[in-house]
Amino acid sequence: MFAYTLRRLGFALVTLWLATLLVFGALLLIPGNPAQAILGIEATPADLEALEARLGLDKPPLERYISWLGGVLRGDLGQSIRYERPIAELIVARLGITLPIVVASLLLATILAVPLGILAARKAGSPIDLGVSVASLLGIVLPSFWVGLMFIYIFIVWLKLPLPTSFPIGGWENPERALAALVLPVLTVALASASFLVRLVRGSVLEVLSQDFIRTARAKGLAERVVLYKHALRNAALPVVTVLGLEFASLLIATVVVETVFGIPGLGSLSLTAISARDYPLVQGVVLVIAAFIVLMNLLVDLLYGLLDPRVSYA
Amino acid sequence: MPSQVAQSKPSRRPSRWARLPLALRVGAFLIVLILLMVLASTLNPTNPNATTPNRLAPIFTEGHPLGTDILGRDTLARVLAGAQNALYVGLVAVGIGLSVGLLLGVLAGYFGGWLDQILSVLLEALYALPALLIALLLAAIFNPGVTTSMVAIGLAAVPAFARVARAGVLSVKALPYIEAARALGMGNGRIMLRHVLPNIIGPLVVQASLAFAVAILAEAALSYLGLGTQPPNPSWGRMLREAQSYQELTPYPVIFPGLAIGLAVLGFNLLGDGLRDYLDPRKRS
Repeated sequence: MFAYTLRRLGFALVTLWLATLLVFGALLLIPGNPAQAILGIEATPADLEALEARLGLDKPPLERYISWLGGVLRGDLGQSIRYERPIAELIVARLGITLPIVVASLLLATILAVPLGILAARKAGSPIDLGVSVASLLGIVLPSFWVGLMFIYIFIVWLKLPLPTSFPIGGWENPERALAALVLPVLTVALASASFLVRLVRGSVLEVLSQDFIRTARAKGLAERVVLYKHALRNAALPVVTVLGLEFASLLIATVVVETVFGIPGLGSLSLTAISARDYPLVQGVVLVIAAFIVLMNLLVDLLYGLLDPRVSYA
Repeated sequence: MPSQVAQSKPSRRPSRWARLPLALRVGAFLIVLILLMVLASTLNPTNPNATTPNRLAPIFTEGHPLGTDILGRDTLARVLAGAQNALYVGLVAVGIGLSVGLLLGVLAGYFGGWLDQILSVLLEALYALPALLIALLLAAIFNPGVTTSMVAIGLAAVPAFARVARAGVLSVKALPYIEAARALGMGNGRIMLRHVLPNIIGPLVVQASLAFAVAILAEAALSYLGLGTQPPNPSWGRMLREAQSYQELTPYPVIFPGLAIGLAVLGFNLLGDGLRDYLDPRKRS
């Protein structure tokens, strides 16, 4: 187990390092002078020179990469050009809004998907199963940001529910308003995620229920409840956990997009501002942080999988 | 007394089409529908970008069956033109993902060893960068547009194609006929092209169909964020972005592009699922 953990950890570190190479290397491809691109054509030569020095453009790329990577390792992602503040600070502030949406959506999606998936699997072929399948298919094929737009129309324009359509300017200083502003975004992201999870849970439970050890458990006279909860679900959980890591990545991305629908100043709007302001260091920072989250989540899921399933080989 | 049996017609075998998986049939039907939308768009005399004084017309307005947007542009014409855009972006993105992924996957699976390990680590790293992140990087370097979004979606699709190709090569490589080909003195390139590739096409076609669905969703999301197709060109995602600002005035410019996205994504998903069932010998009766 120890060797497996170590190997998996090493693999995650290599992945992260490759991500830094990619994120840094991409910006070397900028055609022309990046300082000129940021400041526009009206920039004075003095301004250009100052910005070039600030971005370290006067040094060779390898030296820039090493000093940038050194900063990243210390948690210093550099200064934002647009906001004139440390990038790490900006990202942490935005994560304070994005992460609660991600976590709440994942929780709500699990609460919705697990019981519904089990129910659909137990009543496979019934109208309930059909209903769950159709609903989940809709949730998968309809883009989550469109569902968010429809929610705004249905709940706010049509039903006139007193929900704010944007995040309060003071952020979490006004917790009630902030929470109210997150209701629809969380519902939107959670439904998209639950649609995907419910199919997985259903398939996984159905697969396990058809196996020999379940027939044995029933044959020896165990109550159906015991068969389901003690024998089936524990085994059905494995494939679900494997995919949770991948699901986390798509949930994070869905959140970034859905934030835009609801005017929520999270990581999504930060990255879009960075693009339109040509704030290259900020784009680098945001992309790197999101990629790091995805790598870490995959690592956690792999380790969890090793713990849950004694059959996983650690060799 | 005439026999009941003699009167009944001999039961006919269901046609080839009827024996295909239901998902495959529905998926194919929806994709034909999307192709008809593209055809209608090219034949449609209404310019999807032409503005008219008839702004925010409701549905079933004469000349504008799906209404108009805030600039008086015909929603139907724009949704149809959006189909063209979605298919174009999907084709190019899946083409990039398939060609790069196939090349890397076949090389990794066929040669194995250190090449396989290096490629696997690289592809795993690419997995941590979803299309949106690649699109953000590309949009920062070049200008955001349909090309950067296609490349981003294509690159994000590479690892999945490579994984499918590698798994296929690994299962084919061990078969005796590959050994026979090698014994006959065939070179690696010829074996890969003539004997390995034709036998792993099935799973790749399934993956291409599923990737097409993902590409359409991703293109819509990127265009919605302003990182994809630029105005005035109609893209389903772009239309949603524009219509959001006056959503409380009329919901139709929001409803129809979304439904079109859902239809196209459903079509390619079902086609992929159906093809997988069809190509799986265990599920074929």
